[in-house]
Amino acid sequence: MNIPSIRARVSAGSLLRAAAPPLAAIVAGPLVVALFSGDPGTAIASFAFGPVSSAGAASAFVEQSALLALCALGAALAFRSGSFNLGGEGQLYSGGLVAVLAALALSSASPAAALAAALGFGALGGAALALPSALGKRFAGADVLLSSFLVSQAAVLAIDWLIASPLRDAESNLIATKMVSRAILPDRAAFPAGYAPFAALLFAAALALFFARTGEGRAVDLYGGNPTFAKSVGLPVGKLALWPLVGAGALHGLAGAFIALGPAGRAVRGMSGGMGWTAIAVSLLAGNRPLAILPAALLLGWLDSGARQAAVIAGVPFDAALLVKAFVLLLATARLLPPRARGGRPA
Amino acid sequence: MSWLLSLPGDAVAQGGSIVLAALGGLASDAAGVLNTALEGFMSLGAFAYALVAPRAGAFAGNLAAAGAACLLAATIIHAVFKLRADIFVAGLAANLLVQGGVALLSWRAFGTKGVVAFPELLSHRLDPGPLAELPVIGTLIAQRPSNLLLYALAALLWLLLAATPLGLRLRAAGQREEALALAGVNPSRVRFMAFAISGMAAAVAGAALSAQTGAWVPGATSGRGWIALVAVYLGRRKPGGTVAASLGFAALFAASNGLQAFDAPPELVLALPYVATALLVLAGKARLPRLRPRDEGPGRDA
Amino acid sequence: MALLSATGVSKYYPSTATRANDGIDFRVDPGELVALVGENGAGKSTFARIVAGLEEPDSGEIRVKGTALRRGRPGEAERLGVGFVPQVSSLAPGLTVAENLVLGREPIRFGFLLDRRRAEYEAAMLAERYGFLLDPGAAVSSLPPAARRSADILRALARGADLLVLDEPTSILTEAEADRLFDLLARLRAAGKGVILISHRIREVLEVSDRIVVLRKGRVEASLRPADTDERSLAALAANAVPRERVRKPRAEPGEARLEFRGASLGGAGSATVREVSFEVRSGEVFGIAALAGNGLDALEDLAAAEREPDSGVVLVLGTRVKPRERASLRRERLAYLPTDREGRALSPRASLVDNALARTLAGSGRKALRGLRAMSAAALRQNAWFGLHAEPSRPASTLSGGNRQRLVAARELSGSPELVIAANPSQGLDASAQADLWARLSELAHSGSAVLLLTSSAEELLAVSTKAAVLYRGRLKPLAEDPSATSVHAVAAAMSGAAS
Repeated sequence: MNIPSIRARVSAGSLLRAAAPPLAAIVAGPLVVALFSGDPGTAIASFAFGPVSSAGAASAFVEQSALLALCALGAALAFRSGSFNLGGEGQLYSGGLVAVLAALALSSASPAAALAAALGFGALGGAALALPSALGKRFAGADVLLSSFLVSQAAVLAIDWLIASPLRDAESNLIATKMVSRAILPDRAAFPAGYAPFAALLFAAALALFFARTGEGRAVDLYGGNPTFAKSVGLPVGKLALWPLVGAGALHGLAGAFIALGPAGRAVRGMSGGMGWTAIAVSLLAGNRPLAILPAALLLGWLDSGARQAAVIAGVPFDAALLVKAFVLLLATARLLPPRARGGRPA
Repeated sequence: MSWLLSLPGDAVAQGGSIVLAALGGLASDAAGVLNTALEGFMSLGAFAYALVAPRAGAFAGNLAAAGAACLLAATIIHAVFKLRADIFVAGLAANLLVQGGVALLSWRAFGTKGVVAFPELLSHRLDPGPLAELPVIGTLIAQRPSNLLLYALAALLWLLLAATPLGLRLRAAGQREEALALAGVNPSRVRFMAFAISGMAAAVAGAALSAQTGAWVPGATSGRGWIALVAVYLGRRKPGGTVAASLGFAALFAASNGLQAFDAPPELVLALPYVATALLVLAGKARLPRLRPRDEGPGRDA
Repeated sequence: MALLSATGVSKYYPSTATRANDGIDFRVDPGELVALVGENGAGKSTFARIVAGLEEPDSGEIRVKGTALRRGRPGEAERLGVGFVPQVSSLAPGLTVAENLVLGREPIRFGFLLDRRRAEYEAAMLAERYGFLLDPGAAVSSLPPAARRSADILRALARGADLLVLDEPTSILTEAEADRLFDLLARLRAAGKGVILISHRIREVLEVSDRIVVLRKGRVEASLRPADTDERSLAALAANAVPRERVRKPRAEPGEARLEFRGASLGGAGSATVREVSFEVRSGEVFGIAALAGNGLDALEDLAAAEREPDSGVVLVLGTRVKPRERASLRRERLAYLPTDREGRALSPRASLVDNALARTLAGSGRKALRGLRAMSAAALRQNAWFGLHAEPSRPASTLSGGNRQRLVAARELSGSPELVIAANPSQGLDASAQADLWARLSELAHSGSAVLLLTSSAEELLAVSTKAAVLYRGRLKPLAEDPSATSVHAVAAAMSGAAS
């Protein structure tokens, strides 16, 4: 049976596998920044230490990471149920817009109630965009990979228009909606990073518990790992095809709501800013494990904040971060040890 | 209703890049490798062309686009075959890599991340002469040579898939690897070639976008790579079907351009092709290839 | 000089922990037809694939006409003149016969185009030369199974092979087609070519071969001339020498019918066919059906487990015609199913052992939020310990060896008191003691009122457990004598290979 030796090899392999992508990020980040800067020293320094160079920068970094973590938790939920959700961008954007509309409509309610409702509607706004893909998967066997991307792409364009035309605040210089009541925005003195970090912690813990401790969580894993088996063994595959993907949309929508109800206090055109794609990298980097998503989000959040700092201070385009994320994503699913034996199955 | 009359001509103008990219997608799909990086390859091609063509001419621009695509394809294939990364994810990573890399290089080379115009790049439309007066025919003839090149390349790619030894091997690699191995051909090498061909086709299709606008426009591909990928599956993974589906999408793009003339909101109009495609995909009309069905798997005797 | 000489060829599969080939020495001379026989899992196909260069041995050497095969060169065996016809067709189904034949050395016109007409001409000439009736322009997927097999053989010959390796070539051929194939082989031998023939059909082996090599558990058990043996002793040599402990059989007082087949047929390509099969399985009995690969056992399994519906006829599972969508509720408690398809239907490889063990419970009433992890693990551990599987419960199922995976599946499916058990090749990959446990458990279940359908490719297993038995041959069911304990393994093995009983 050879169990001990197999285990030993697996753990050595998984160690290398887990360590390589973050290492790549840590090494590649400064390298790329230095390469594209006239003043490599300043660029590297601002990239590496920018996120904690000031209290404001630090809280922005924490808030960004928390938002990233929320999206990544959604991505992980979808992944573990076997769906490749490429619609995060649109779900995020839609959640943000719906949350702002809800907050504007409820301006007469008490701030706490209005905030809660706005966040709830934000989650619904994200979930609504994921629903067509989930239904398509359930009833027509449609591929989530393609459908979620296409629905999201259409939604992004539609929301761009909504924000630019009918919902635009004519008095603002930004292409953005009206501002929500200041009362429902977080008090930045008490909560410098807003409310998102609390939500990220809450949902990471909840999802970790869900996967570790509940039968439904295990059913999601069994189904995601092998739908044929799940069907054969009698799991409710119809339900399992639907709700994790819708839940993923809701988490993206919630993150969008936090963005819109963040420092801007309104829905700004293009506010999703590629976070939906980064979230996929975070989730894969964390092996789709909810608790590991927190550090992974901090790492890539640092990368984003650092790149932003380097952009401001050293004039390196912000896109340097994209390159590094691409490397991380490329390595995230790689198996960095050679396979133990080829053609492992008798044929 | 003049826009309706010019629709066929506009569709042909829009279609070249989608048709070529989609046939590229078909080439790699036929060999059993799904190319989720078509969008990235198109973007890369558009940029490489804008970078090289103003200095060295259109031919060199296209060559640069293809060369850059080859490099990217080699990177992805290395990650997938040697490091055993997931092909979907590696494709997505390639898209990000191009997006970031192109922005950085554009900033380095042009000093801006925004639009850079090269009026001298613009390939001019053919002059239909007296035929220009005719309603549909006139616009149909007035195509840019850069666009016609795409159709010529698409025809070549079709020929390659359907009627050459390489095409035969590509299809065999996608259908049954063992058939190639028993014939003494290395299936991995065939797959790499398929992926590289697919990347080059998409890159040259992207280059034409720069040639058509006479400018480097970041994000000019705006999802055409993904649309091309969908066209492959909508066309039931056959060359004819793929071309037909691509032209259908091109007509949608052309129609959405036409609608803009009526003060229709451009964003909503641009969303049309995606909405239409999404509906088709959601109805299960375009599915990604499944793994081998059960009764074709290896035998059970050790 | 020998056409082929193999020395000390060994191959180990870590994923299933099987030593498929264990120091095999083998030789074929020009003009010689050597038959390779042995039970399922004896290592015949693995050896054939190593000779064809499709797999690399862990150790040992293959020499073709004196030249050793080098590693990492998939086409080398082909270039040296080995033509391989695998058990399952290896032609690209979407290409035509001619295209498959020329793959790798395509005729060209205009410098770059495939010369399809010449390819078809060459294919037609080849087919005529060897006496095959084949349309070279037909897509392989459109061919009936026998024609597809002919195309496979032709492909091997097209490359001018000096050594032909045929893995179960006759399993899907009719008698007449098989006879034509053997005529052809005789002609090839006369021309000095060598043949390795793998076959389950003892009778045909005795008729056509010059020498017979018996493999058992990856080793060469015997090498003999057909004249020196007969059907019975050869079958005995090939059978696995598992100590024959017959399990306590349930009382022969069957109750109500739990599974009924009434003239059920299921079509499909080649092996996946059953034709007008009728039988019933009652509570208290173990109904065993044995068949060799390619005779429709997979299709029968799909029907019995309600994974598919019959094309014609009726299949009643627990009294109802179950639609595949509706079977979820049955699977939770009433229907236990040990599938042959260990990859697809048995386990979710990335999920942990506990989750896999509890999969049926998760699907049923146990799928409540925050149900104690400890209680669930304990239940799972009890099930595992019961089949002698001692492993960390949180490990992913993919880290288990093939035998242990099957222990896990058996523990999950055979706990509780299912009304109907479908066990398909349940002991494949199990060692002797786990096999004995499993057989005892199946009998025990029948004894306490379950109905058990055993589908197996081993005559040994059929007789060890069944209270009633039948053989499936080319999609049709042939019942055996009422009492399986009065039947010999050899008689069953003969019936499975189509010999008149």
